[in-house]
Amino acid sequence: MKVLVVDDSSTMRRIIGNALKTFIPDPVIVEAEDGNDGFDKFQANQDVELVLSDWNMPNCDGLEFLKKVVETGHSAPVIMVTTEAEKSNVVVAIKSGAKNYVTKPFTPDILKQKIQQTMGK
Amino acid sequence: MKVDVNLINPFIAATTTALEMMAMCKPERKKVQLKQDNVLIGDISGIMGLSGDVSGSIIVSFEKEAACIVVGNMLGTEKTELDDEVRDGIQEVVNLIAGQAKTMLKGTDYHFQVSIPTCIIGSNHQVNHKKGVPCIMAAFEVEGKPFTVEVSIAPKS
Repeated sequence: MKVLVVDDSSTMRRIIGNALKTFIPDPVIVEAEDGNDGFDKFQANQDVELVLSDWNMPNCDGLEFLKKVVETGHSAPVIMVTTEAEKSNVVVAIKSGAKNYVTKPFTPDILKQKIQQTMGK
Repeated sequence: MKVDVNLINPFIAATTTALEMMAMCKPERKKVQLKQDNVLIGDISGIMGLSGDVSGSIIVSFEKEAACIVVGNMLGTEKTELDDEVRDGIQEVVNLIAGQAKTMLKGTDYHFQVSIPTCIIGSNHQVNHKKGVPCIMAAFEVEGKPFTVEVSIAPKS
């Protein structure tokens, strides 16, 4: 499975990557450091099956990135992975097309559960 | 200015949760005090400005060994130097703490908006919180190595 991970923190990208490897066999992880980089990588990797995106990032934030991805009509679900835990933000993200929402901090088990829920497994 | 030291509590709770969940370590809280100077205890500090309905900042300052333990655990690798990975990791720690505290302070006069974190490395470095805004410091240890969380926050008048 190819997964696009968009987060301005290399630490968080690595944490997510390490977690994905514990429950997805041989994942191909494409990393991007902000929404602009994320959308470039998204367009260059049309076979991506899942997108995980932070919200607060410089240049292009996660909400803007989410809207751009949703506009393409691509089938890959986008899950927001963010410290923005307030209900109003969750509602905004879901209304904008996010398929699920993971609040930081999280454990690998929480991430696994949310991804499996989203992917229907 | 009157200071409510209980303001530090959401940040203390957020620190414990963030490190337990993402760095698999249990920070031990030590003293809480009002801070009078600008000198940070650590060799590396993650800093985030707080905005919105408040003005202020949060600084998480780690001695080298504490920073390496925390970031090493987060990455699943051993860290011994304050390199770019540790720098990024400490920025993420302040981001995780501020993000949770923000949620806990929703509905109060101290609810804030977060910004992009930055980091300073160097012994005895100093950072000025906003003038006239009191600073509360909570001291912690992780595996016996010290770090502090400083919060300086006041509603905009």
